[in-house]
Amino acid sequence: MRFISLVRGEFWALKRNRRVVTFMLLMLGMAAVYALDAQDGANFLPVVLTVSIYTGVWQMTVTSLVEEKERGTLEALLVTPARPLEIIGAKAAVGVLLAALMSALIVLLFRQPPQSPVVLLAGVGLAIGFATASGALVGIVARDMKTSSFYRTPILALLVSATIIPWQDSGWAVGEVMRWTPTRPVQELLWGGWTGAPVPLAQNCAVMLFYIALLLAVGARILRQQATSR
Amino acid sequence: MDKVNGAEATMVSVPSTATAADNIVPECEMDTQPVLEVRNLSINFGGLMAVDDFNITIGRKEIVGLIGPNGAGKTTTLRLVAGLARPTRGQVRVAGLDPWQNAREIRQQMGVMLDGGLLYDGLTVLENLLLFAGLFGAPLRAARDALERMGVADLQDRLAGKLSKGQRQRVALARAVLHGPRLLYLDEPTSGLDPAAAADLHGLIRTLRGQGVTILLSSHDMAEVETLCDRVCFLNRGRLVACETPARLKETHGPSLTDAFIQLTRRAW
Repeated sequence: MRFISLVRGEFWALKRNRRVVTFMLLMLGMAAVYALDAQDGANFLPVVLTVSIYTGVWQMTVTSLVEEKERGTLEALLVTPARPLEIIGAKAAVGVLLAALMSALIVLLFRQPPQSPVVLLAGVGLAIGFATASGALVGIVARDMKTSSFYRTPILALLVSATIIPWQDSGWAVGEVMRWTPTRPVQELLWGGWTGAPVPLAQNCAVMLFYIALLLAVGARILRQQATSR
Repeated sequence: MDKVNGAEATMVSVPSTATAADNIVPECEMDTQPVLEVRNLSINFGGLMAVDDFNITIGRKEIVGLIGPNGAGKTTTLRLVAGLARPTRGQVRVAGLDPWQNAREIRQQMGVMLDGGLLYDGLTVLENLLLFAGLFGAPLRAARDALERMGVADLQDRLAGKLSKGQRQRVALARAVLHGPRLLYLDEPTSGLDPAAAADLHGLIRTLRGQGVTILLSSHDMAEVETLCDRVCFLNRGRLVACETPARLKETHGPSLTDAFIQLTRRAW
C-alpha cells in the first residue's frame, strides 16, 4: 500500500514534468533517424537502447532523489512508516516503466525482429535495473544538484561508453578491467539479443542481479544512516 | 517520581556532573500520563553539543513550547525526538516505546510539520495529502477531511508550489494530522505568517489539543508560546535552562516572557 502510494505520487509529479516528455521525444527522434537507414542503422539499435536507458532512467533517478533532498521533502517521507527501500523502489519503478515503454517503442521503430527476443528482453530489463540502482546510489550520496554536477556527467558517460564500446575485445589492459565491470553482461545481452550471437544468459543475468541487489542494499543503508545522522 | 493528582509526575533531575551555571536546569512536571519521555538526550556534531542532556516528560493534551535563540538546539531537539536524527546519548520514549526499536508503530502515532511546510510543489494540495494518507494507511477520505478541518478544502486542486506561506502552513498541518496522530511535532509553525494567519493557526492547534493531541512545538515568538503553551521550555546552547508554565516563568524570571528569555539566556552564558 505504501509502495503503491509512493509510485502514484511519482506519476502525479511526472505528468507535469515537461523535461521527461522532451527527453523521451528526443530519444525516439534519435532512434527514428537510425531506424530510417534500414541497412546499417539496425546495427545501432543496442547503442540507441543503451543511451536511452542510461541517460533516461539513470538521470531521472538521480535527479528525483537529489531534488527531494534539496527541497527537504525526503525528510517528510522519512517520518512516515515508509521504509527507505520503498522510497527508492518507488522512484525506480517510474523510471523502469518509462524505460520499458521507450525501449519497446525503439525496437518497434527499427521494424526488424530481434534474433533472440528473450535475450534482448533480459538485456533491456537488466540495463534498466542497473541504471536505476546505480542512479539511486549516486542520488543518495549526492549532496545537491550543483555539487553533484561535477561527477554526475562523467559517471554517466563512463556507464554509457563502457556499455556501447566492446572494450574487452580491445586487447588493451583497460579491456581486462572492463571484462569485470557490470556493464559487460548488459552489453553482451543487448548485442546477443539483437544479432543472435551466443551469450551465457543465466550467468550474465545472475551477475547483473547481484550487482543490482548490492547497489540497492548499499543505497538503502546509506539513506537510513543519512536520515538519522544529520 | 512523585504522585500528582493520582498520576505519575516526572521530575527531571540535574545531572550530577552539572556545573554551577547549569543549576538553573528546570524540573519539568506534568500531571497526566506521559506521552513523550525524553531522558538525557544529547547530540554531538563534530565536537559541538547541539543538544546537551535534554530531559522532558509531556503528558496527554499538553502543548509544550521550545524557545530559544538561533542555534539553541530547538530544531535539532525536535528532529531527535521525531527520529530524524540519532542521539549520541540518552533515550526517547513515545507512549512507552523506543522510536528506534518501534519506528513504524511510533511514526504511525506521530505527526511532524517541519519548518517551511515541505510540500511537493509539483503536486496539487489534495495529491500531497493523498500521498501521505497512503503512507500512513489512512483512508483516502481522511485527506479531504483534514483539508476541511484546516479550512483549506477550497485549495485542493491548486498546485502546492502556488500557495502562499500561510496556505502552505495550513496544508502542511493538515498533512501532519490526517492520520490522527497522538503526538504532534511542529517546527516554527507560524514562522513568516502575518498575525491574522498566525492566530488562525493557533486556533487550529488548540482544536487539535482539544481532540487529545499532545503537541511539542518550537518557536521564536514569545506571544505565541505564552498564549498557546501549557509549558515553555527555554533552550540555550543546547541546554534546557528553564521549563515552566508561562505564568511561573514570568513570576520567577521577569515581568514578561521576553524578560525571562533575556535573563535566562544571559545567565546561561
